[in-house]
Amino acid sequence: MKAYIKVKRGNGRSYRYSNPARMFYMTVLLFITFIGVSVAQEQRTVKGQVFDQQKATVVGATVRVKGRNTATQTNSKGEFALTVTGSNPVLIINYVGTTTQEVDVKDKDFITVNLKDNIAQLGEVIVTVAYGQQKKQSVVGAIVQTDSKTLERTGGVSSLGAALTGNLPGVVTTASTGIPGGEDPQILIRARSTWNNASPLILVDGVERSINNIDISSVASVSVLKDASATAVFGVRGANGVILITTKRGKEGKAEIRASANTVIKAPSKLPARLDSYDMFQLRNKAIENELALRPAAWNDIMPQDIINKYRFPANETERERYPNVDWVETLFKNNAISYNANVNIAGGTKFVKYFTSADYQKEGDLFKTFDSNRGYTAGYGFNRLNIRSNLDFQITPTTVFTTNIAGSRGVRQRPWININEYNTWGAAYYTAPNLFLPKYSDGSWGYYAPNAGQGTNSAMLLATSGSEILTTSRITTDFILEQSLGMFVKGLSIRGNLSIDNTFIENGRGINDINNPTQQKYIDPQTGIAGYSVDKDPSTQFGFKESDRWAAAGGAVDNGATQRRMFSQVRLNYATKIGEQHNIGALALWNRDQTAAGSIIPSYREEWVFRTTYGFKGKYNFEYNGAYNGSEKFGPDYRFAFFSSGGVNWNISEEKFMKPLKFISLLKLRGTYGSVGDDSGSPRFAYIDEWSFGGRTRLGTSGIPAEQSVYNWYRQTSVGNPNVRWEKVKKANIGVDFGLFGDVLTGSVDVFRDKRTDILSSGNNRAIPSYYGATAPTANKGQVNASGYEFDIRFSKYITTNIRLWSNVNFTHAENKIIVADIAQLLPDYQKSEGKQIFQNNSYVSAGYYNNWDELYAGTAHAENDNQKIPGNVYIIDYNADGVIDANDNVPYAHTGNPQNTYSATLGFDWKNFSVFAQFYGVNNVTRQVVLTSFGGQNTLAFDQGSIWSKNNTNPDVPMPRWASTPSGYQDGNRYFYDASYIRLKNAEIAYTFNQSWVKKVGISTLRLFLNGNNLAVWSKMPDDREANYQSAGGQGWASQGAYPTVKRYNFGANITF
Amino acid sequence: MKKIIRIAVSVVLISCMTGTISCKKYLDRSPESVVSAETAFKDFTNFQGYTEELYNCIPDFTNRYWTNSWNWGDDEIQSSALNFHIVNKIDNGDFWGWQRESDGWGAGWMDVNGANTNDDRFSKGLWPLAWYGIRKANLGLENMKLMVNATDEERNLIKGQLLFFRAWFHFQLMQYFGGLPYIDKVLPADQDLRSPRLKYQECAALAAKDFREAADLLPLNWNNTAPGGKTPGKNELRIDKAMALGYLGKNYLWAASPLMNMVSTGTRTYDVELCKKASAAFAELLNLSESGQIPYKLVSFDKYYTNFYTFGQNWQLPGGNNSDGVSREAIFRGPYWDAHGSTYGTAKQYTPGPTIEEGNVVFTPTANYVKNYGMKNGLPITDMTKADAESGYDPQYPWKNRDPRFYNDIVFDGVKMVKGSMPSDIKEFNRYANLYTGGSSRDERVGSRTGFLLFKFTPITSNRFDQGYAYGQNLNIRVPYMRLADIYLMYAEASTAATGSPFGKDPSFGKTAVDAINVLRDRAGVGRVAAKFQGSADEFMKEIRRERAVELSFEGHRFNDLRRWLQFIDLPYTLKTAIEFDRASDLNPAVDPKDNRVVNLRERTILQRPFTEKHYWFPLKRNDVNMYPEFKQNPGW
Repeated sequence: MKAYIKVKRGNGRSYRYSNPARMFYMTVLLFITFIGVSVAQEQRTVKGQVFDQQKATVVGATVRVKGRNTATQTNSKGEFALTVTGSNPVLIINYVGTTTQEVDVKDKDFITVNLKDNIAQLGEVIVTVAYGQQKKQSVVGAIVQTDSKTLERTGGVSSLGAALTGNLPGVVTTASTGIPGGEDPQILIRARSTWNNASPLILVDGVERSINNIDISSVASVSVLKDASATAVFGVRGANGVILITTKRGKEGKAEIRASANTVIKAPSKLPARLDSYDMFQLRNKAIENELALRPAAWNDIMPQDIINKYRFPANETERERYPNVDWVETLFKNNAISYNANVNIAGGTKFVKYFTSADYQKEGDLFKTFDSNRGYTAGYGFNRLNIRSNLDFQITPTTVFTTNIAGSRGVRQRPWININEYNTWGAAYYTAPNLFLPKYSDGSWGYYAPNAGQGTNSAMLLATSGSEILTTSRITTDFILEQSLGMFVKGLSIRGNLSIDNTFIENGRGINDINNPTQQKYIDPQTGIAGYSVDKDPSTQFGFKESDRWAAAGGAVDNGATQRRMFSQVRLNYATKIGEQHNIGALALWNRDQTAAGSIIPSYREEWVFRTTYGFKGKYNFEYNGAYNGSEKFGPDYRFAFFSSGGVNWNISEEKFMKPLKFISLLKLRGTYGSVGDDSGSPRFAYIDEWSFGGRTRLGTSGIPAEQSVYNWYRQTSVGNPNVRWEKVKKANIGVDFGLFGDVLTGSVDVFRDKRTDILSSGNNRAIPSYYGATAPTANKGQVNASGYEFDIRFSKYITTNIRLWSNVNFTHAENKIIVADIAQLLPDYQKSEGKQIFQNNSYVSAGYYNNWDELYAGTAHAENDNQKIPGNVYIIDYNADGVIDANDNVPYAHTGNPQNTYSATLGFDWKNFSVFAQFYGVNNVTRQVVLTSFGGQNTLAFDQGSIWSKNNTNPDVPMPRWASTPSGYQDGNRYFYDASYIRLKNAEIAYTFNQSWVKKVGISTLRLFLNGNNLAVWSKMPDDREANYQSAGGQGWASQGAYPTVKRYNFGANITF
Repeated sequence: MKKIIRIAVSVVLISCMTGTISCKKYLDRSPESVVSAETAFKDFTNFQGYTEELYNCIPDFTNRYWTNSWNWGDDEIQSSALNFHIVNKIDNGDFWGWQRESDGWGAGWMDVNGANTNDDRFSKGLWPLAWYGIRKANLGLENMKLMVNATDEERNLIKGQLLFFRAWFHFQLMQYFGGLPYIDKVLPADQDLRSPRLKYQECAALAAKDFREAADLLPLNWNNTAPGGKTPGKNELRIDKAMALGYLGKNYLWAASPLMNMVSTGTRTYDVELCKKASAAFAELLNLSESGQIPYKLVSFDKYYTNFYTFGQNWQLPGGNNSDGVSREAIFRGPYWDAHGSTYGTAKQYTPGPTIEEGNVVFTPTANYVKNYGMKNGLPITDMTKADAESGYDPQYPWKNRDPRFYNDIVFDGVKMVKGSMPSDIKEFNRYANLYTGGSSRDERVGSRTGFLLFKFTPITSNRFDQGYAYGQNLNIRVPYMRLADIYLMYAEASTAATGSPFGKDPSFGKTAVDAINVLRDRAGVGRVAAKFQGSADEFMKEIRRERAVELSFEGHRFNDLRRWLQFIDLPYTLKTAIEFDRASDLNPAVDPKDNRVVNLRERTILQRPFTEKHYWFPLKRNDVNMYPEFKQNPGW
């Protein structure tokens, strides 16, 4: 049964392995055995440490002895130790992107090497591409990469997705909430070219995994693949771009310990501005006066000025409680909250095993103030995360490497025990009026609005008395990889097998369940001054109400519906060879299968066959052709598999002889790619067949709560199939130029792209199928979208003196799309069809100034509904189709979509010796967001500060006079709630100092870097709050008037220590 | 050699790890996960299970949202503090409000997102569920032949239910939208759909055919069928012959009504032939009822309220349950999912704030509508502000000697609203309805706007002091779609219009139109139809309509009635009024509030609804009418 396998090592000893599980235990054993075993030493040893121009240690620099075969690489602290013989030994230190240095070590046992940047060698930079790595020089596709150093300076954000913002041209992120543990933004690569899911494919160490809960400190690089040649090998999954996250690995050498710790101070960013009670009542009086002709009855609501005065200037505590004036933002939120992050990792290795292990602890603080519930617990939000990773590479034989990556993450989110309507906990900051009640009265009872409890959410009370729930997300990801060189048969051939098993468990319902346990609430009627209470008597005893602890501790349960399992297996054949000095040939063949399941669903399956061929000539010309043959269970047998392929070419012009005279050009490379990629994410599972389900019974009984069920189990057709449903296809073209000028003081790249997506899947709800069809129409391939744009990335770096460097990175992305074909009602007027517009184009009635008097009003166009409710001070609505009435046909495309067309980032930096400073600005424009904040909506005594207000004397105001009791038509808002959602942020800024002087070494530290940085430090925007979109990653879909946990700015102080 | 072995071994190892030993159907759906159509239809048990999902397609208009608006005629007005309910949009002439696209709060029962057949009352909307139900019925009817293991009775039960539902959903939509395509087959997924809208009467004829066939197939009483015998206690809601006959007649009467006749033929009067058919269908039903062959019987007046709510009866589904435990007045009701659900909002939506109840959505009966409640002697009130010697109405004692249903349905000034104790901080006078001008129960925003309150559907204890809706009270509120009293009223209307006489009748049934009205008057203890209304069909029709307004008040019929009678857009039916008056003296709780004297009684118009011809029909969805020209929008929208 057990297949024992003998693997012989070079020294003749042999090990026996059985199945992967056993192998895993062996691995752990081996790891324990070999950790700490250091490289054997003999004779004279020269040690040293290598730094780059930014004073950071250089990992993986090659150090060899001139004229000999001895060489080593620097470890993760940049250190090396090398045995030298001979009388005048010289070391050659070599690292990509820097100039090679030679150091005479005749009388030295320790050297410090400072490598200078040599961007001319950027072509030598290793870029992570799909299923492997390539030298940047030979890359033909549009790939951008960022490294751990850049990610770690993002000012204390804990979400890797958020750390990508602005650092990768072509990556557009959109954030919506600052809730601890839920800050991951939505990510879009280049332009949206489908109305279905446009999220990129995210792979962590080659396997599709969530970007959430990854600790930034264990990430070595993030590579973003944008065009066809880079993504075609992912076939069906690559159409929206691919993000490859690579974790750090060990290097041969002594164990090194890196530690970092930082403290983040978070402060709420911008929230909608509201009027206080005093200003609100004055405005309300004006509003009532303004609409008196329509609603004379509203005169009863006029508030006398002497009463209004009491709201702002109460004479005593009694008046303060009777006439509340609550600033809910200040009530609910602290000025700042503290987060912490601590990280330790150990990397190193021997000839047999290389290891990288890390532990990272993140604690996100809560902006909410703590409200004492008198119930013996403290409620609020919070997020703690522990990430552990162990990446091991075993050199089992000289030609065999066995790799295991084991990572675990445990994220613990705390939140109030509110399963739905979570927005009520921050709701008061957005929509509870200032004059209704105090959050808490001096006698300890909470405030409420007795006349209509639903209109005045007391978020402080809800937060304090809603219990406390712990949600734990435990994620374990494992990779087992065996790589065998087959060089003994064919030089350059190797085979690699990969098995990955991931599991995610979510436990919820742990904590303090305190729902449905009322607390005493008080309301003081400002008219009478009489206090009323919400609970007259105890519901269970019928005696007077007494506050007590009724909550129950809940043990929590694994949410069976949310568990996720994945088993991914892959076999890969790699071939790379050189024929002569001029011909580089590479080939890759790969097969994989992916099986995933969440909860109790039938697992989903995927199968892919992939190949890639590359050819390079003299480093001048590189060709690549690759493709994937993919299967999806979503499509019928006739359409199940599809072949996607792409090709690309590049030309390093600067390598040509005729370019050599042009000395100021150090790099000039042209590249172009074209190919097709597919997507099936818009399709439901098994879209090709009718789906039936069994189960459910009708309650045909007539008593009991709920009524008794009938005996007959339902059969129902749950979806109608479309046998012709098939892949969405994108044809992607990309042309790019990489350049380096003036000795690489100026480097950069420019890319122009065009995507043409056809056969876009239209789900039944988005198709022009009459209601009387009676079912959700089947998904069909009914759309076409063109997307195009360009991006550039320019880097400047110059030494003013030996010690002073100025640097700057600027990148810009423009991405736009246009719907060519969509399945829409064809009798709609052209301007209302989605065809020819951007995906998710906003539509609105369009305002054009104000009716300033009755004459102008009567001369204006009639509204189809509620026309008699117009008054001077309303806005003109443009009668777009000029039919003499404002109706649904005047709802026209307006402004932009929620996805910005332009994103740009500019970073300026300055280094002086060990001191460095930088600031990064990030901005977007051509983007629109709807933020509906209506003063006095639903006769709520809440008014927003939205600028100047119309009056007879101010006919050019920011906003019209709000309405109190009258009901104008919905048209009259025009476009006022559509905001230009452009913004510019001071995204990141940092001041840092690195100590690597001898005194730090004396205390056992190799380098110590202290930094002070920040994230989202300032924002310039026209929006009333600091959210980029209305979705919330936590608490489900929300809209603007419900608000969100405030987004934050962060100030971060910390230290990186290398031992 | 060793090398080769090593490599071979490695390859095997890799293969084991990755599971290359593959099944070629890796991406096929595993068969055990497939439920097939054949299974669903093979026998009665499965097919009935297939069919019963249709019952969950019946929206509960009484309890669709927290608070609920289903009276859109001149009968009811809502407090002004929140205006999201559809009745506010109707009052403004904005009939787009029925569509979820225009229903900001999603509070309406006409339309929600998706056809949800779950047990969640909040997720139900008529528009999507009706079309879903029609498709489901058609799919079942087309697969009747797959039902191989079944008796004829079982086949009839299934087919009868499917036909009924197909027609019922069409009928429900037609009455709001006019003629639609009558969908009687499963529509293909891959072809352009181009069915034209039919004229109302064409569409109704097809529905009538289905109702008739269903009536012929369905049993008088499910308890007496073989399958029904096995499920006692769960047959009451199952579709039977009486339901099919009731809707057969209603569908004919609607098609015959002036509005539907006008849009079909251009004539603004009743269609006599269709009225005869309606009368015959109702007669067939009433004969079965009066001969005791079907379990439908009028409930006695002291149990009248059980048509709408029950309490202290283990959450018994309301339906006018007679004491025999078998017969009931409600003919058609949908299932209920959560009886306690009605107590969160519906039980509170008639009680005035802020003192008696929290929440600011209050529906109050309009004064113009309350006027329909005549005197105990059966005579109408012509003008609320003027004394009338004939009827005995006196504006100084407007609550005296009224139709007993007035006292059952309406709370007027001085009625004691809170039975139990009230906390000290609430003033004692709030125990009583203070509905005089300026009284504490009068409040534009959160109280009564009209001088009346509605307590037809909630016990008077539904207030925050008496806690009539507390869990322990087992309060279950639900207004039926159709009850037997409605059949008598529709029979009277159809027979009168069919024959041109108050004494018109269907040959098969013993009662005339006048007799039918008197059945209801007798039950309520109201004087019979006065002789002066028996002289002509026109005069008598007015009395039928008034009787209909009172007996079926606030049950969701008025909006459709005014429309089909072509009165909807005309004065005085576009007005909503309030009464203003002062108490002649301070309230004396010892005196029966009926006997209280008031002064300065006058009627004040609150609003006039800006209706034009287009308001006779709801607008169809823009998306539907923009697909092809034959599916037209209703005129004016």
